[in-house]
Amino acid sequence: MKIDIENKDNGAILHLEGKIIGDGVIRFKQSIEEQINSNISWLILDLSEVPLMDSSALGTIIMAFLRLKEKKGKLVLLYAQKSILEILKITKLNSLFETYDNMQAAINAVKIDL
Amino acid sequence: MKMKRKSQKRDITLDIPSEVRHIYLLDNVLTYVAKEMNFDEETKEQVNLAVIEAGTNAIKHGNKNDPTKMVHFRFNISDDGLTIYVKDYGCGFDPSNIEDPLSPENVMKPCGRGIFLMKALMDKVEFTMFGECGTEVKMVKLKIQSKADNDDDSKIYKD
Repeated sequence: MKIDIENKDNGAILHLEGKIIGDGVIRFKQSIEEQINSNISWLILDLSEVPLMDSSALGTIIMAFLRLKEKKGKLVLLYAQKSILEILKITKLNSLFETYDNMQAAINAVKIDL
Repeated sequence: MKMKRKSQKRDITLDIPSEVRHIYLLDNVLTYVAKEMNFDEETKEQVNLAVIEAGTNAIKHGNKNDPTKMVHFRFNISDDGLTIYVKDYGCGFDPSNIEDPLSPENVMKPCGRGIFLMKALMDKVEFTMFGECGTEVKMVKLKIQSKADNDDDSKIYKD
């Protein structure tokens, strides 16, 4: 799995590529924790190249969502594929996470609420 | 006279040491198995995630990430569907004690969705405990979905 980080203003966009499973979840969690610990206030997860993620990866996103919320920050998902949207629906996490299919809309969403 | 076609069955097995990095190897084998089954794209994704959840549970919770302990996978391919067995050497657990991750008090918890997803994505999920000798999960994905064959747990999560 590949992770590219694009820091912007007081936030970050994580461009993820590949299935977030196995030890890929550990690397994903480390990257997210590093970003949150560096005092960002928003995070956009670009899932356009992620065909699958397991429940541990979902747990990592929940953890990031809650930590940013504590800091009055925000996390949103961008370009989630159908398979990921289906898992969010099954687990009812679709009611927790905002999902966008437009980069500018995602950036507006994380900034407007701050 | 109608001839009943004899069902073709065969097994594919995979043993991996209990390290999460090997989940990517499991993923490659699953791609091959799903192709052999001629599953549609959605079914492939469902089986893929369910088996990855079972394998990850076996590595982490069953074998406690001990690389000297193996996780055994057996894929039984037949015309009717795919049956997958995942066996570890853990002390087992009580499946009836697993909390519902959809309940309001649990939906924000970062863990506890693995078995729920396995049940939601597969047609049948069964656990067998072998005392101190390990745990085996058996999962079935039917080639032609028959909702009547689904157990109660899996029915709940089907749309």
